[in-house]
Amino acid sequence: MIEQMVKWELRRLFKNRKFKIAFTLQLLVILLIIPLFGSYVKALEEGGFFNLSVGGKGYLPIGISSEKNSLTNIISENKRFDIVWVEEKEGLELLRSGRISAFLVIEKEFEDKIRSYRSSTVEVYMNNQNPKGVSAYSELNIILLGFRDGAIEARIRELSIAEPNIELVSQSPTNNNASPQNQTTQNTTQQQTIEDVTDIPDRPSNFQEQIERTRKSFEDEQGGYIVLLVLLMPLFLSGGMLIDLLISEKERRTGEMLLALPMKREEIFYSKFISILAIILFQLLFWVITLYYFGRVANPLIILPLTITAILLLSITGLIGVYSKNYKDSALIVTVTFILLFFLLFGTSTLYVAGLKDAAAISPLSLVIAIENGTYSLKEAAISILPSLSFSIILIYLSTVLYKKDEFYFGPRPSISDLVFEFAGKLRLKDIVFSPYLIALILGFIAIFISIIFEIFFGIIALYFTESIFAILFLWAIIEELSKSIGVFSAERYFPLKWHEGILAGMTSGLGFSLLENIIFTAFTLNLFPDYALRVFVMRTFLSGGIHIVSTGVIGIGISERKYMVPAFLAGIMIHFIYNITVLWGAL
Amino acid sequence: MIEFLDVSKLFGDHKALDCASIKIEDGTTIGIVGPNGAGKTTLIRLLCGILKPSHGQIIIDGKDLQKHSAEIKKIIGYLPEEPNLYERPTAGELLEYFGLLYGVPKDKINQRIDELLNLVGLSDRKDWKVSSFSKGMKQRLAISRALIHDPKIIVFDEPTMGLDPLTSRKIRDFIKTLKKNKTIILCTHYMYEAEQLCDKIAIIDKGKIKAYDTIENLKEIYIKEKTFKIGLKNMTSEILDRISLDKNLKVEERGENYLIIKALSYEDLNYILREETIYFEDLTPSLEEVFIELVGSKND
Repeated sequence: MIEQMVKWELRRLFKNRKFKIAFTLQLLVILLIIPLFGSYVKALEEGGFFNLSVGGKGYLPIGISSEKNSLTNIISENKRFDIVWVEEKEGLELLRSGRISAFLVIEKEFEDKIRSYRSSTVEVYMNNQNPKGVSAYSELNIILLGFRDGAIEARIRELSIAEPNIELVSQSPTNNNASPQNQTTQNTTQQQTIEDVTDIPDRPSNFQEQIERTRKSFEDEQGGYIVLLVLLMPLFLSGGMLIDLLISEKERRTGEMLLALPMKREEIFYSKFISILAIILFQLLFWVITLYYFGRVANPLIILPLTITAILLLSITGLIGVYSKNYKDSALIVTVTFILLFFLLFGTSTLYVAGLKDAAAISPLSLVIAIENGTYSLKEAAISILPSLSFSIILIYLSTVLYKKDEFYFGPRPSISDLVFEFAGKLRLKDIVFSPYLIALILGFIAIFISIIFEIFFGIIALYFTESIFAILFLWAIIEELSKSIGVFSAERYFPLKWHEGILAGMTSGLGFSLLENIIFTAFTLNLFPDYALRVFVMRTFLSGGIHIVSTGVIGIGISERKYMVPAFLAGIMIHFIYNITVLWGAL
Repeated sequence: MIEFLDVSKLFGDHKALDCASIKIEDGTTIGIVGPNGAGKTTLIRLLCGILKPSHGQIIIDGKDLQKHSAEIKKIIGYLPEEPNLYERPTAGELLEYFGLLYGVPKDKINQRIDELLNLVGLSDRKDWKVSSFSKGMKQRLAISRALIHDPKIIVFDEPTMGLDPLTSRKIRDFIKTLKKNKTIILCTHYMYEAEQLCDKIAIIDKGKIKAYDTIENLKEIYIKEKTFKIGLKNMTSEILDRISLDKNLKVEERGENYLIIKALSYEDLNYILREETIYFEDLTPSLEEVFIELVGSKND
């Protein structure tokens, strides 16, 4: 029966004009990406104009040793640069310590020389150990080449850039123009300078290791990362197709006839799921073979983690399709889900590329990069595949449970909280005395994940627009308190709470939140700064843990006694915010 | 035999069907009538296994529908209120798909499709895309789909709703041809349709089955006064006086040589009919009156 339905769905899809157009568009994109990809790799290898860095305002701190002149004016106009005006020796120290991405030394007579049509020299120093160096170099390169080739440049005959090849490496965007005599002189000067800056004090002990790890990762992984970005396209498209397949049956009411068929309801869901999975696999196979043929994929085994990702995506979109009654319904959920997926998939892959491989390994997409670069291990494969696969199975199971419910086709659809409470009812939570606190504790655990996502999302936006750390700390206090309050609201909805029970439920939610938050923080500290891990754990347990418990306890009063809701929330958020500021001052 | 045993269906807090209990004998045609939102469609969706009862049991041929869902669904053909057809495939492809899903053998499916399309007058449209069909054609194709597996029980939900009189009549005539050896459950708004086609009627309102019986019995039970038109050759004062004194009779209208009389039963008219009558007509209201009597006043 499933086989018949899968055949039918596949035939319908392949006959569908929109699907054919989407498939062709994807094919064109991949064909376009093959040369673009080549161009990008070439630019990385040989230097050039192709730059895919995505940094925002002030993303690239650079040092300049010079008087202000026409060249520095042009550089200042580039908002990506955060310029530090320093002397040559200090600049090289900053470059060496990784605090600036590139360092320019412009000779004092630069302006005069240009005006008098004489060649001038700009030395661009790069620290190859700094991962932002490539981006800074690329940006500067464009400016320098433009300066030379433009109206002003017309007066400059020989703008040469020094290229010392010792520990601190400066690179030349115009190798051909570099004068050998000049280079020799520069090398000597550089050698001297390096000797002066070998030991820079006040640096974290493993700071260099971090930079080294990140640099290497970027250098090694960017090929795999690009392949990954390309191959994610059909996955996202197919997720949308499954939602469409499920919701269109509801909107056009053709699903009613399917429900009348002599087959189990879950079989209908599985048929649709398998149809789309088959299409994804076909597309992935097609793409991977094409990319492999053109030498853009090193190992076709990447199909395995990509399939796992596809199953994960389909299980999420499948659940959305089952839950939503119509397209309008699904649009909001899809938007939210794709934002979450963006953080989950791209975020973890970026962590992987940045060198935090242990944290990132949980995403199957990290395995794609590892396989591409031939660095994968069986352990890494298991860590990447098993959580996603387990999560997918849970979601598929949930989808079939919901698909069996009449309310998702006919009648008023229950809300998520209705479903949770229905489930809680089955567990007979009402009979257990400490149930409100259990609910608050569990949702406190979950609140940390909600918080992290929103804190990153709104944190980036707030930082970009306000550039104020206080704004971010305030925002984070709001986000965390609202996330933690979900547990108290849920407990209060299931069991009417008195004010003292509200406090207790709030404290429990805060406890759950801080417990998991501390574990996550400690794990990160162990990975980044192992020397500080114990200190962070102890400090956070007693300080941060206490604050979370107190602030949400206060909010618990407002949730149980609604007339105090606003003041309780304000008080809870302010306690949290004051703590955040105190910690920041302490850290500074 | 189909048995609804105390069946209820809840959507959230709303009771769409409330403790419904009916028995449907094999080979009968049953009409389900009721106002909008009464629970008719819920009842037939439950019968087709599309919905699951919140309480109670549905037994078909001695088997619990919930426990033997796939097996029982094979003997049920369902025509929903809207044809609900996929638009892209051709009529033939659509019937083939549903035929195979209902377990029609592959070697017989084409013959069956041709038979059905011929029966509903669409034999020349087998290779036409469904999207090119008119509403009436879609409805006829949907009927073919409901019959593709030659079901023992056929459920029609408003089969003539929104169709022109000619197509409606064609569909009614077609249903009459099916009556010979099938159990038919017909959900309709049109009382004359129910009267024309059905052996028994279930009147449903606000999720409750208000009445379930043959049309004659329903009229007998729910229409307390019958109306007759009697033409008398000689309208004597003697007979008129007797009628006016009779508590069981009520003169509604008096013409030159006829009377329209309301009576509790036919027998009450005996002494009038012994007179020399020109004609006699039973003006007793139709099923519609029964329906209004049962649900009308509360829904006004």
